[in-house]
Amino acid sequence: MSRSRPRQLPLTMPHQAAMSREDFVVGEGNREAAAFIDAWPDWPASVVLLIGPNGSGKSHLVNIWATKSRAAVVAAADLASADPTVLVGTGAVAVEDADDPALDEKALFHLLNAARGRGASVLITAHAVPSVWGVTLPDLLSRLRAAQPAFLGPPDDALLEKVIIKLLADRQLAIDAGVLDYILLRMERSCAAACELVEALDRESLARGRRITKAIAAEVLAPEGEA
Amino acid sequence: MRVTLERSHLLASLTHVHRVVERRNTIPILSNVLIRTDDGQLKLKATDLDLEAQESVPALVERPGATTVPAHMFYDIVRKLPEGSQVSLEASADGATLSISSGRSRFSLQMLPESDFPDITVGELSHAFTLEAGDLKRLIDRTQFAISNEEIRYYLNGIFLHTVDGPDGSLFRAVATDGHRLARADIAAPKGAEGMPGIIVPRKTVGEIQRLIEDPKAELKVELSDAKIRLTVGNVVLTSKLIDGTFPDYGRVIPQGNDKELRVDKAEFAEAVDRVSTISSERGRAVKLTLAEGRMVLTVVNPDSGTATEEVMVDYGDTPLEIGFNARYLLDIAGQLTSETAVFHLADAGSPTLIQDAGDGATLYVLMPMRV
Repeated sequence: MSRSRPRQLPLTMPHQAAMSREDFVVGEGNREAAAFIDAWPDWPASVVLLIGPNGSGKSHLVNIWATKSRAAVVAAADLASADPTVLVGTGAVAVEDADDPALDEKALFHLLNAARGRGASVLITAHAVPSVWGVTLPDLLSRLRAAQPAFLGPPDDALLEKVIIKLLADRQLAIDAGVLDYILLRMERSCAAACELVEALDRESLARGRRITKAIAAEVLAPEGEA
Repeated sequence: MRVTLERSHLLASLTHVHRVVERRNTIPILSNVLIRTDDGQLKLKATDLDLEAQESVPALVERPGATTVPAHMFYDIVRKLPEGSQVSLEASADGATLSISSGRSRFSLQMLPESDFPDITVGELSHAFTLEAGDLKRLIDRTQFAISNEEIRYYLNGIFLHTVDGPDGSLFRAVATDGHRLARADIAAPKGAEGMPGIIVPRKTVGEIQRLIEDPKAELKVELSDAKIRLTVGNVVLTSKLIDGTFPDYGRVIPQGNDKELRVDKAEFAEAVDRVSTISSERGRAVKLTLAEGRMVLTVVNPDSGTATEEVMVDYGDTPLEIGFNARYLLDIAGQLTSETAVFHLADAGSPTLIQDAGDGATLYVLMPMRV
């Protein structure tokens, strides 16, 4: 047995993320994208591209839109095995992570054609604009370029604060205002970082059987080896 | 109000009811027990606004009425009265004091008006069923130790009761977890329980239910909604609010593919864990289990005081494994196992371990290791 202090490991407790429109916190970084979702079916184009980094709320917006539009939701990597006419059957379809290297370009192209034929709306999510996905099918690229982009930018401080509170609430947790301020001053300014941080805070507090304190936050925020 | 009743009846009832009353209260009426005459009976009721207990006892009612007096003091007085005595209760005409007399003893307790005493609004209870009190007690006994004490995890501060489909019909299931260990126990679902909402019964209510069950063969009536539960056993009615939270999808925490099986004599194992953990500076320190073909070595190292090891013969034929656990958690689980042999299903030193009685699938325990 090592001389370092033994540490209790916590069970990995599943939680349910709240995914309704009321649960989507809007701020500077995501106002435009949320407005597009709210505006449906009055879209300027039949295809809208939601572009933003991990954790920025793309899937949450897809979920809100799918509830509203009864859209089928399909991962880009699964498109090849799906029937495009079935997918556009409800008049709306969402394709997630279209910049996934596993994307079957022909399948996406067929889907866009089927949607056009049906007059269906298409919501596509990706981490970057289509020109950097490495699309090789010229017809698909031109169709994607013609789509209406909606960007999810980095969060400002107010949005980041709301996102952390929302992520904690998903785990039925709350923290003191002082601890929240401490975290906000020191964390990386991205929603992805907020997701990772809240998961780590939850896990550490569960392991220790204690509420989330500044001391726990400091350890979680410290770079590896400095805790 | 003027009543006379047997001290033993009054004491038995006060014993059940007064426990609900918190020792410290900012609202004075919550320190009191309500007593009300009712057709040859005296009704007693106490509440902390989340949990309410009431019970009726036979009494000779000379003048009907109702009032409230400090619960713990009233209980202590009645407890100290001689066995077999009769107790007379009489409210003063000005409504200020209740006189308690028995033999040569006289007490006078300040009263608060009955009208100030709060009621828990129960609302409609959607499901009702009866079961043998001992069955519910067993579910509680098996799982109660794993309830979380961490206030911030309020949704884990109770036992999750719900029904699930089993291979031979519907099961009534209790689950508790504190994030380090999880306990799950089943009985066949009583008629009427199917389709009930999953509910989280708070720790204090769980404790009171357990204490109330004196005769395991008694019939216990359960009525519930998604916000309240009411239990009736004999003359006692316990009504409680439920925890307003979502219990985690615990099924995903229970390991399915742990392929290393260890069988050990439960008593021998528990004694060994208890002995080696003596060396720990505080309770709850890690004990390392080193498993090899046919044997297990338990080790505790405390850098401040020394080391302890003990070898136990076990039934284990898999690859050698070193895994650490909190000694107290091991003892808690061993204390709940009923068969002579404990069966561990292990994966590795960083994954949850499944522990069960040999030959009993109705109860299981999941324990996370310690990194040692």
